[in-house]
Amino acid sequence: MIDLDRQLIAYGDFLDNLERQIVVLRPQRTGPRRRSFHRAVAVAAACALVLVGTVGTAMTRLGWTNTSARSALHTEQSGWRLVSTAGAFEPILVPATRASTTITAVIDSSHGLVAVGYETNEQQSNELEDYFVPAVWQSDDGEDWQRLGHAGAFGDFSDNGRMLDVAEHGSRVVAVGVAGQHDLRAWRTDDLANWSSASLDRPSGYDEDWYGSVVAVAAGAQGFVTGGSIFTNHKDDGSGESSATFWYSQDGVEWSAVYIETAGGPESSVADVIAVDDGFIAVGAANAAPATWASSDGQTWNRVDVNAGVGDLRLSGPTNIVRKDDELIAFSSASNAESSGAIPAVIASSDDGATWQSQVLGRGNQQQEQTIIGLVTREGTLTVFAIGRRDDSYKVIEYTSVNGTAWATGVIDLPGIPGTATSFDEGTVVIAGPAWFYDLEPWSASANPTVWIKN
Amino acid sequence: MTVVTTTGPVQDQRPAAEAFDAFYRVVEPRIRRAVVAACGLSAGAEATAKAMEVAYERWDEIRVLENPAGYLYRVARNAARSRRRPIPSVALQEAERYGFEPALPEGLRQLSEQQRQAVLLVHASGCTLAEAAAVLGISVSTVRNHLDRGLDRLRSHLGVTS
Repeated sequence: MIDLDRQLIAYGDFLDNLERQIVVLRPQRTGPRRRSFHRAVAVAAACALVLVGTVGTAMTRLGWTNTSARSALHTEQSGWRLVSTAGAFEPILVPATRASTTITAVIDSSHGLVAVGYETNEQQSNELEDYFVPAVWQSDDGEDWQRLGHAGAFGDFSDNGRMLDVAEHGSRVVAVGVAGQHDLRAWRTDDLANWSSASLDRPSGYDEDWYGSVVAVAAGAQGFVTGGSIFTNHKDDGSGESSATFWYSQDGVEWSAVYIETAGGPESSVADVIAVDDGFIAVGAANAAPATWASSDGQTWNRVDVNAGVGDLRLSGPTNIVRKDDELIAFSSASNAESSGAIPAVIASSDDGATWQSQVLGRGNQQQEQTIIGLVTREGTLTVFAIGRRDDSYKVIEYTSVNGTAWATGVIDLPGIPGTATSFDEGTVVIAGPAWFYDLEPWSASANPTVWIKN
Repeated sequence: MTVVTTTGPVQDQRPAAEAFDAFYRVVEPRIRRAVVAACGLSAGAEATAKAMEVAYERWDEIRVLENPAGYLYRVARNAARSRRRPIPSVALQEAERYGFEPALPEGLRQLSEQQRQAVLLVHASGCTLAEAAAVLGISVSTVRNHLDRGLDRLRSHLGVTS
C-alpha cells in the first residue's frame, strides 16, 4: 500500500535539496542594501553548484589537503591587491537614479582584458523588472579600466540586453547573452569600437512559444560555439521541456542551432563549454545526472554520460569545466538522502572527454556550503574561487591544485563576490561585485564591481 | 513577545534584524514551495529570493501588513510569471533514493497549478490549511477543495485505493 503522505514528504525532501542548490543564501540585515543580490542569485543559479566542504579526513584520502588551520589568509598575506576602479564601473546611463553594473565574464584577448556584463537601472521599471543594457569594459594591464560605448553601441533591445559570456578567435570578440525573452543574441566586434549583433536562430520545428538561455561561448579553430537550453511545449499547468542546445557560427556572424538534446528524456541543459585542441567539450546535466558533450567541429555533438554514483552518493551536473595540461576537469557536487547539503566532487577525463572518472572530494555539512564562481589556470596551477560560510560569515574561498586531484584551500578577504576571473600576462585578475547579504568584511561602500589582482 | 505569524499584523517587538530572521525562516520555505509548484524549480527559487529581498528592503512596511506572506507570495509569483517551467523530473534512482514512487512527479504535473500548490504546501511542507491559505491569499475552504481534488487525482494516478 502506498502511503501518499509519506510519498509527498519524501518528494518535499527531494525538492528541498534541489532548491537549496539554486538559492543557498539569504539576506542579512548587516549592511547597506545592494541590488547586486540579483546578480548574486543569477550567478548562483547559473552555477547551480553548491559545494559543502568538510576539508578533513575524507578529503585527505583523495589528496585534498586541509590547510584550514593556516588558511585564514588576509588579503595582504595572500598577495591580492585591490585595484582602484573609481569611475570605470560607475553606471553611466542615468547616473542620478539608482543603478549598478555587473560584470559576468572577463577574458584575456588580443585587445587586452575584455569584460562584459550589463548595467541595471531600476528607475525605469517596477520593483521587480529591472532595466538592463549591455556593457563592455577594457583594460590593457588589469589596473586601468574604461567603459566602452554606451547602450546604443550594442543595439536597442527593449531595455533587456545582458551579455553573459565572451570569447575571442583571431581578433574577433564575440559576446553572448539575452536581449529579451525570445531573443538570444551574439554580439561581435573586431576592434572593440564597432559592434554588430545577430540573433541565435530559433531551432526549426519550434513554435513561438519557446524561450531559451545561453550560458557560455567558446572559440576555437573550428569557429564559435555557444551552449544553453531551450524550453518548449509550455502548458498552463507549468509543464514543458528543457533541452540542451548548441548554436554554431564559423565567424560569429551567422548562427545556427546545430544540436538539440533529444536522448534520455526531456530534461537536459548545458552549463559550460570550452574549446580544446580537437574541437569543443561541454558539461551540464541530463535528467539530474552529469552529462558531457563533445564535438570535433562545433556542429555535430555526441553526449557522453558520466557515472553519477560514487558509493551511496550521486553527482549532479557539473557547472564549470577547465582544461589543465592534458586533463579535463569539471566541478560538480554530490549528495545522498541523508546529506544536508552537497559535497564537493569533480569529474575528470584524460582522454579528451571519451571517458570520465568521478571523484567525491569529501563529506560535508550545511554550514560549509560553497558556490564556485570562477576557475583560472596559471603557471601550472588551477585555482578555483568559491564563496562559502566560514566563522559565521561568508568569505571567498580559494582552492588551488597542481594536478587536479590534490587540493589546498585558503580564505581570502575580498570585500565582494568574485563574479569572474581570468589569468593574463601579469597575473590573475578577479572582478568582484559587492553583495551585501554575504556579510563580507570589510564592507565596501561601492555598489559596483571591484577589481583584484594577484601578480 | 509574540511569535511571528503569517496571518495577521506582526506584533513582534524584537529588533528588526532578529524579527526579519525569524520571519524569513518561517515564511521563505512556504513561499518558495508555492512558487516552485507553480513556476518550476529555477524560476520559483529565484523569484522567491527576489521577494525576500523586497521583504528585507521594506521590512518596516511589510512586517505590519495584514498578511505579509501573502503579499510576498504575490511579489514572487509576479516575478516568475513569464518563466513557467515544469516541476523537475526525477530519475528512477533519485526517486528510489528519496523513497517516493517514480510516477509521483508526473502525477503532480497533471494537477492544476492550484491543486499542486495545495498538495505540496500541506503535504510536502507541513503547512496547516490556514498557513497555506495565507501564503496563497485564498480561503481555507478553497485550499481544502484544491487539496482534496489534488489528492484524489494523485491517488488515481498512483493506483492508491484508499
